[in-house]
Amino acid sequence: MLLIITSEHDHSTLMVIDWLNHFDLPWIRINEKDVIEVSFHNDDIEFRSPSFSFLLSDLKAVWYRRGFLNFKLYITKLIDIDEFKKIELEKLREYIYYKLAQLPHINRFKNADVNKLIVTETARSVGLTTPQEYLVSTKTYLNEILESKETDFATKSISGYGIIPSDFVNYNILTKKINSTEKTPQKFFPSLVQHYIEKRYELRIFYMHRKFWAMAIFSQNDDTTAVDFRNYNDKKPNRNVPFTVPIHIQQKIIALMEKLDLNCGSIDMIVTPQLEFIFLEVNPVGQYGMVSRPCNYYLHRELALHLKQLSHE
Amino acid sequence: MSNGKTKKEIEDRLEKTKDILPLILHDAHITEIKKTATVTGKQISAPKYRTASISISNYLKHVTRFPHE
Repeated sequence: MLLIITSEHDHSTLMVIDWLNHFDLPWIRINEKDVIEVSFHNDDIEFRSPSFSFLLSDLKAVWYRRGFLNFKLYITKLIDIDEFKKIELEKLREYIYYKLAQLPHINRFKNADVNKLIVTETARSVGLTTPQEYLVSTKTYLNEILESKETDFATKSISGYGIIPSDFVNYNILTKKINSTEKTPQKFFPSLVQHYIEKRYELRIFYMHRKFWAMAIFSQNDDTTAVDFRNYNDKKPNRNVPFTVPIHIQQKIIALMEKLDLNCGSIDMIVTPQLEFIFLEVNPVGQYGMVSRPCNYYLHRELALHLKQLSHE
Repeated sequence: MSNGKTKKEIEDRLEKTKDILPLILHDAHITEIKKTATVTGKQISAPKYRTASISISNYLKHVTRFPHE
């Protein structure tokens, strides 16, 4: 049986499940909202919730899509004791993730939340070109950077967030150009500043176990999407076409993914007017329906087939 | 409103606290979410949720869409 760890609203999980049913691969799905209890029997672990119960030994493969395992914690209302129990539970959770990662898998919890700064350094170490970037927290340093090169600069969130949602307002924090520092205070929270790269087109690449499915996004000619394609123009969507990643770039991406210990993820790159390939980021739990549909890649089917292979069914 | 504050109050607050904000939040574009959608039509009940070897995607496909999908 295949275990799927995901979140309740992930649409791609449902699409893959449709294909798993088609291929007759038995599966069990745990959403992060499902509260589960575990018990241990010799070398085995039993997972229980009101709607399912299974043993670790029942599992042949794991697909970590996103989310986390939400274990039930009974509290005593003695704060110190409950804090201690939380620490114990955390170690148990770690152990269970470790046991799950020993099964054939697509991604795992431990590596799902990558650090953009570390990924960029690692990408450079395998020979990928990345935008020159700086961490800046003073206006003096920012001005020095802006005056040092005859190029534009942009700022983006370190976490990769494009929006901060709340109940009544959305804070748009997509990549934006830095035009002036006139109103910038002397000191501010450490911020990521990058050379702004002119695009011929952007690439969104879905990577899984050394295979590539890529899409070119012609976002440069639209003012709405020129700086960040996630600032979608719904009235006139960007043109998206299938794209073959050159072998020498594929080799570097494989090296990067292996260094990061990731076997699946969505990679963003820019191709410059001079046809240079610039690596931006990798998101192990990124969406791929947006690549699958315009390019007819049937990625949900590919994922299901791969999960079937991993399960030896 | 967010945390009991209006859009204008949030913008003012962001302006006053620039020295502790990352650059991406300086002059950030804030949009108010207008909840204008009204529910029409007949209420239907969702199929019972199950977590093993049954898909509810065919149902969900008709009622919702998610970002990037």
